[in-house]
Amino acid sequence: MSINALPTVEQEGKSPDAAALPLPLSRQRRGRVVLTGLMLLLVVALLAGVGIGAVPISPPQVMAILLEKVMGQPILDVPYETRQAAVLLTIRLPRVLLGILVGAGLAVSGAAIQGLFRNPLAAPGLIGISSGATLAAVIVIVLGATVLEGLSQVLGRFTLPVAAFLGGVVTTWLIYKLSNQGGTTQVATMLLAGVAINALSGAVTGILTFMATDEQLRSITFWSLGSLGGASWQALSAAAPLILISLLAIPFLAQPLNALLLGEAEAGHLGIHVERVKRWLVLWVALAVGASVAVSGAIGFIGLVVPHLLRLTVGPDHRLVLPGSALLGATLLLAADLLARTIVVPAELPIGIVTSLIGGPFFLWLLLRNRGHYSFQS
Amino acid sequence: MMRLEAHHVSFKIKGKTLVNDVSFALQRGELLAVVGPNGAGKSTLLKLLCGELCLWGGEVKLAGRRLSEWSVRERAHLRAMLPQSSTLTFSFTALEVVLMGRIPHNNGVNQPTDYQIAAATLHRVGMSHLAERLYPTLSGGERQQVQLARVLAQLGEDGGERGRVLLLDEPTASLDLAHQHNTLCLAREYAAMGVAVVAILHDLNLAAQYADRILMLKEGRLKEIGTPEQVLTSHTIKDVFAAPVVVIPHPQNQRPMVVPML
Repeated sequence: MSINALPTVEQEGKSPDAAALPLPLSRQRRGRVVLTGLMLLLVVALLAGVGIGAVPISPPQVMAILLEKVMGQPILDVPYETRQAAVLLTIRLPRVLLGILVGAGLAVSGAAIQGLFRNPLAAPGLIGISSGATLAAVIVIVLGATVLEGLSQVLGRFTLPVAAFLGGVVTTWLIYKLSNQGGTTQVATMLLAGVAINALSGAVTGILTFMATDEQLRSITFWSLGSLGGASWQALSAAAPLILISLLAIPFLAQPLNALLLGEAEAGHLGIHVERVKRWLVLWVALAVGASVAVSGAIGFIGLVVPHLLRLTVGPDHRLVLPGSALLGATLLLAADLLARTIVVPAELPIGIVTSLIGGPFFLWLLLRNRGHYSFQS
Repeated sequence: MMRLEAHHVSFKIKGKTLVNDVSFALQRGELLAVVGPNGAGKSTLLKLLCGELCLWGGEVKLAGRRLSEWSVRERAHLRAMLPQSSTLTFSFTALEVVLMGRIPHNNGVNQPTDYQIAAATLHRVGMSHLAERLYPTLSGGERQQVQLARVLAQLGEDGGERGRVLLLDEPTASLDLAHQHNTLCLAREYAAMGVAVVAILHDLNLAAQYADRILMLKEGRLKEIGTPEQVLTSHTIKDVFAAPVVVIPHPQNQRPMVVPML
């Protein structure tokens, strides 16, 4: 897009020979177009997610069922069966809503972590949430009936998600504390602490896996691969507030994240409370990813690939990347879930397999495409 | 009122004293050049003045109040600092980088005035033809100029009236001859508008030409402070830089010109 084609701003009386300069509309305009497109895509994915399956429901029927549920009486003159309504309201809707929240939460957290570490190859797993949650989950699966019997009786079927959430958050807190010295958090130290703690929790997880029975092994495997199959209104009501808070809070840190990319010192000179921003970011990411992992297991690649895709299309400005990542993450996870539950009907593939199967080669394609000038891409 | 004051400023790290008992005061419209050999503590001093490093001893006053009494955000309105080098690797355009200088002045949404100021400062450093270029694709010198534009955008159009402080850490490094002079002319323009400027310079002749006063550091201590004529004598330079020179008057304005002896 040539500079001359853009509208210009006149310099009024500043200097006689000041050239009329273009406003950076090209990226902003593109950003708006992309965000609108992503919103439409999400709506399509949502309708597909609730409509496709063993019991098909058409979009007009979806609207009819929802409106009647909300208003208490039929609004649209669209016929549907009671079993369609049952499937939609008790199975598909919570699953799709969970998919949207988890997809958005993982993607936005990925973008935030990449900004925090100033590295586009960073992922939320670096600060220990996934490995900590997995360790806690494996502890519950392997030792739940024996050592943690008391806890299991109190929490019942919430034992696993609660443990996973706490495991993730505590691990992140530990890594954060390790990298915090005299009030300042060294990001480089956080990376190394993450490596060490991840290795340690991986080792302990390995020991427990070694001790596990065949039945427990199956549970561990499927937990590690992730699934939205456990979605219920109950699970949703537990996870949704935590993920929603983070989804609402992180975009407010968009401008500070932009400034952080200049460098921590430079961000400080621009009036950003760098330590505060880092602390809040770690907290929101821990909550969002912890809650996601707790209800749907470890789903990979979304946090890494989605922000990348956004940056390739709209540039690195977090004011566009964060909302865009939320939309694209939600859409991709819904699409992956659709694939996961239709491709080997009546069984369900763990969704982590789908995201990795598609994410891996796609990421490779991105790399190969930009090989020549990778250092110049975000 | 002095815009920037340093009172017995010291900085120590791991037992090594990098800055030792440095005092000076800077007023509006003044351009102070900080010179000294490598490792003399120039960058450290600048970081202490802008609040990036914590003082070990002494105090720094900005607009009459101690630096610690200003909030981080207030400081961003009072002073702007150009760092020695930048580590931005993300694909922002040059104009977007300059726009980041307006962060202290808006709350996340860029206003038309922000765009105007950013475009104007980018033009002043002579880089407006690079506005839509991706920052990581620019040369070292071009990047330095874009960073300078960002810092000037932070000062804003009324930086002079508000008596803001501009701190420049080696603004002429990696610049060609013409851009070196352009940058310092720009610094002088801002000084003329009322901004107080501190610039670390390696080139003594640039300091002689553009500075009102020169502060010479040696091993963290203030060796000399005064006008270029007072500070730049062959005796002082030999003592501080361990390089024999002869100082002659510049043919155009009689300011000292340092010529190395072989």
